[in-house]
Amino acid sequence: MPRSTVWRRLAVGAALCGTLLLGAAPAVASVAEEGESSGAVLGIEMKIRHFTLGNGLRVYVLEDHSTPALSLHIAYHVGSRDEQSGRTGFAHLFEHMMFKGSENVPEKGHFQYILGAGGSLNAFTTADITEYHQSVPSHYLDMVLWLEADRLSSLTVTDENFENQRAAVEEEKAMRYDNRPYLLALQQFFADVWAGTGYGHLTIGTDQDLAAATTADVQRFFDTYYVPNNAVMAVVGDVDYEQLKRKVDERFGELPRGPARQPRSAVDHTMTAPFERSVHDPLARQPLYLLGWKTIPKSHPDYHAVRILMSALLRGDSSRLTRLLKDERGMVVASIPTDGMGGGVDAGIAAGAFVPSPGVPFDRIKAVVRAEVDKVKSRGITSKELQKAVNQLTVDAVSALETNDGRALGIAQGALFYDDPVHPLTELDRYRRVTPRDIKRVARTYLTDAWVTLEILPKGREG
Amino acid sequence: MTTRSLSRRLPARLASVAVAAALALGPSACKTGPTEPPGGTGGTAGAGSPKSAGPAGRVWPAPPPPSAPKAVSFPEVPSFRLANGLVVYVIENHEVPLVSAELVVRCGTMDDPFLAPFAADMLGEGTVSRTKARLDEAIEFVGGTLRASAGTHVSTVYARSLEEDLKLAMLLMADEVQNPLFPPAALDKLKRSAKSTLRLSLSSADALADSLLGQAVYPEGHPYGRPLPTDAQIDAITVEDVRRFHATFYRANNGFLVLSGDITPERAKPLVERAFGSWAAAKLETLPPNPLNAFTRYELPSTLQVHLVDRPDSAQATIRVGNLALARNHEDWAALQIANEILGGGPNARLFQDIREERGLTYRIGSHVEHGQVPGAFVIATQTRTRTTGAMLAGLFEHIERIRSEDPPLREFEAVVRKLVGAFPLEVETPSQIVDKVRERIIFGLPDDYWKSYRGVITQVELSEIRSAAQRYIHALPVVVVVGNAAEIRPQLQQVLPTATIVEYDERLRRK
Repeated sequence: MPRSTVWRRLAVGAALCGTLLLGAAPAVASVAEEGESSGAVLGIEMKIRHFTLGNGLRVYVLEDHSTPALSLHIAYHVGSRDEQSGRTGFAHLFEHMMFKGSENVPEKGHFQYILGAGGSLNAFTTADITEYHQSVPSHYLDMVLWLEADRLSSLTVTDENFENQRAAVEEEKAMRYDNRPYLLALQQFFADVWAGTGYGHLTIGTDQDLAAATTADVQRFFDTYYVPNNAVMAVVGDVDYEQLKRKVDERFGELPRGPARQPRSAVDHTMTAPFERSVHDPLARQPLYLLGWKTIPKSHPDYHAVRILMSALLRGDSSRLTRLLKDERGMVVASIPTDGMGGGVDAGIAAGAFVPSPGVPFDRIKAVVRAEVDKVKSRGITSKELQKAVNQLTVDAVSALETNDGRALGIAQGALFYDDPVHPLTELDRYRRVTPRDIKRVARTYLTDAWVTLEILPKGREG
Repeated sequence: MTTRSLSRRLPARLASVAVAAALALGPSACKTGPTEPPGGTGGTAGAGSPKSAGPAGRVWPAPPPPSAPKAVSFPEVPSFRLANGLVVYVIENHEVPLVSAELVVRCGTMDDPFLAPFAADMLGEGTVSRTKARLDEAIEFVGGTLRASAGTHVSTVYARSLEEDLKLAMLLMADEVQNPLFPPAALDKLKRSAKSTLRLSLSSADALADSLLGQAVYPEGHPYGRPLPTDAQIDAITVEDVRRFHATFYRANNGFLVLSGDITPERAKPLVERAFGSWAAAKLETLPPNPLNAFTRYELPSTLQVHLVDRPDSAQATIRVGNLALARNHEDWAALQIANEILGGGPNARLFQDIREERGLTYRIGSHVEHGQVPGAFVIATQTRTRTTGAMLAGLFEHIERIRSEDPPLREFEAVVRKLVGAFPLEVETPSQIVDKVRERIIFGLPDDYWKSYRGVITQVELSEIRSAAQRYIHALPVVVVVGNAAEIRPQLQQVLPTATIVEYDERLRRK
C-alpha cells in the first residue's frame, strides 16, 4: 500500500473515521446494512468494508492481494463468564464440539480438509469470547465458508461424541494445567479476585463440572449463543469484497436469527482492603510472587495510561522496578510484566510477577514496590520513560498487524467488543496521546494500598 | 483448541513465567505445538476426495472444490555489495513500518561447537564504547530487538525496530559485530548458563535421543553428529579463544546482510555503508575451509543396530529411527519431500493416521529430512509407553517397508502435492518468512530461481519417483535409538527386531 516512509513519532497524524453508512440498496438479498471504516496511524492504513446479513451476522473484510492467502476468523460473543454455576468449563468444552462434525462434514473433517489444503486452523476460548480461525490459500475460500456455515447450521450433537470430547478436554486439562507449575495457582487466584462475577472461575472448568455437563446443555448452549446475530466474521487477505458478500449470503443468509444477547453485567472494581493470598504449589521449584491492582475495564479511557505505567515500572531490564529489584538490589532473579493476564475485557488487572532471589521474602519486595509506586504518585515518570513505554507498545501493536491472521484477530475482537473494527489502530493512537500527567493521575487513582498479592511457594517450604 | 487469555501473546508470556521460574534460565519463548485434531477416531475423507464412506457407511459430500491456484510472486530480491565485500539483500514490504536486519556470518557449530555460540552470545555483552547496560537501554528505548545466535552452518545477528529507528538499530548491531569487548566476567556468566543448559539436555530424553542418532548416523567427528559437550570442555574455553574465533570469521566478506520490511534499496545503501563500510574483510586464504569438506566418505550400516539408552525412571520410550539421506540441494529433494510428507509429514500422514489415530500408540509422531550442505538425515521421531515399544517399532518398520515397496495411491499422492503447493503462499506471507527462504537458498546453495520455480518443481514430480526416492533415502536398515527403561525394553527389541544388534548406554550416553 502506498505510504510515506517519513514520519515523526510525536507529530503523527491520526485519522480515525467512524463507521460510514454507504446507503441502502444492497446488491445481495439478505444484506441489511453495509459500510466502511478506515484508520491510518503511523502510516498503517486499514480500510475495512463490512456488511450485516438480515439474520444479524456481521462480516468485516480487509482486502490485501499481496499474497494469494487469506485468514478467516469467526468470533462468537460467548465465553466462560457466560457459564452457569455448576457448568464451568462449558464454553471451552463446546469449542471442542465444534470440531466433531456436522450435517455434511464428518468428524475430524474440518481439520483434514483445511490441513489438506495446506492451511492451518485452531480455536480458543477466553472468559469473554470463543474464536475459530483458519488461514488458507485463497483459492479455498469456498471450502472455508462451507465448513463454517455447516457447523453453525447443523452441529452434530450426540451423546457419543460429547463423551469423547469431554475425555479430550479432561486430557487437555491434565496436560496443560494440572502438570504445569504456577499456572493453576495463578488462575485460581485471579478467579478468587473476581469472585461473584463471571470472571470468578477458571475457563478450563473443574473436573466435577465437566463431568456434570449433559448433551442437553450442549444443545441449549448452541441454540443460545451459536447464532448469526451473536457472531462476527473477519476476512483478511486475497479476497474480493463483492464476491465474498455474495458467497457469505449464499451460505449463511438462510440461517435463522437467534435470541438477542442478554447484556453482560458490569464488573465492580471497587477494592476497600488488600487481597493477599499465599499458596503452595507442589510442582514449583522456587517461589513466585505476584503483585497487582484491580484497575478498569479495557474500554475505559484510562486503560492506555495504566498499561504505559505498568510498562515503565516492569518491562525490560531498564524499567524502574526491574532495574531496582534485579540489577541494583539483587532481590529478584526475574521480573515479569503480566499485563492483560487475569481479567478480561470488562475486568482489568495490572500486575507484575517476580521470581525472588533465594531467601528474599515477599514483604521486602512489597516494600520496594510500595516506595517506588509512591514516588510515581508524587513525581510521575520522565518523558523518556513514557516515550520508551509507548515505543514498546507501538512495536507490539504494529507487529500484531503484520499477518492476515493478526489483522483478522484484531478486527474481529475490535468489532465484537468495541464496535470498532480498526481498534488496533485506535489503540496505537491512544497510547501516543498519553501524557506524563496522565501517568501520575492513574497511579494515584488505581495503584492504591488495596492491592492484590499472591505468594506461590514450593511445597513444604516457607518463604 | 485451547483456553486463552484474551490477547494471544499472553499464554506465551504466562508460559515464560512458568518456564523461566521453573528453570531459572531467564525468559524463553513458548513454542506453539502443531495443530492436531482432537482425540478420538473415525474414518473421514481426505481433502478434496470426491466421496468417502464414514464409519457407519455414510457417504459424505465433497467440500466445494478449490478454484484455480493463483500464482505466488516470490519477490525480487535486489542486492548490492559494499567495497569490503559485504553483500546486502533487500526485501521490500511496506504494510507496517517495521524493518528487520539479519546479518548472516558463515561460521557455526560445524566450525566449533563451543566457540561459535560463545562468540555470538558475547556480542551483546558490551563493546569498546558501550557497556551491556547501555546497549540494552538503547534498543529497549525504541522497543526494538537485538540478539545473536549460532546455528550449525551460520551465525546470525538479528535486529528489528520501527522504520524510523533503523539507523540506531543498525549502528548498535555494527558496533557489537565490529567492536565487541569480550569481558571475562561475561564469559564466566555465559559458561554457567551453558552448563545449566547442558544439564537440562542431559535430563531430556529427546535431547539424548537426537544426539545419539546423529552420532550413530554420521562418521566420527562429523559436525552433524557430535557428542554432547562436557562441563570440562565448557570450562576450558578462554576469552582469547572466543576473540580469535570472532576475528577469524566475523568479516565483511564472510557473510551477508538481509534487510526486510519497510525499507528500499535506496534508503538501505547509505545506512549500511555508514554502519558496515569500515568493517574489515578477511584475506580469502585466511578463512578456514568448510569443515564438512573433510568428510568425503559416508558409510551405511550393513546390519540393523539399536542404540538403547537406559533411563530406569522413564515411563515412556523415546524413539528415533533414521538414516543418512541427501543434501538440501540434491535433485531428488522434491521427490523425497513428497515421500516424507506421505509417510510422516503431518497430521494427515500415514504415521499419524495409523500409529496415533488407529493404533493409539502415541500422541506425537512425525518424520522429517534435515537440511544439510552435505547429506542430511531422514528421521522419524516419536515416543510411546514403555510396554508398547515393541509394537511401535513393528509399526514403524511396516510403514518404512510399505513406502519403499509400493507406489502410493494416486489420491494420496495428489493430496500431498496439493497440500505442498497450497501451503506455499502461507509460507511467504511476511517479510521474515521470505528472509528465511532467501537464507535457505543461499546457505544450502540452491539455484537463484529456486523459490520462483518451487511450486512447478513439486508438481513435476511423478508418482513413480516416490517409491524410488523412498528406496534410496528411507532405509530398510536404519539406525534405531530408544531412550527408556532398558530392562523392560530389551526383551521387546529382541522379539520385534530379532536380527538387530543392541548397543547399550547409560544416562550420560556412556557405552555399557
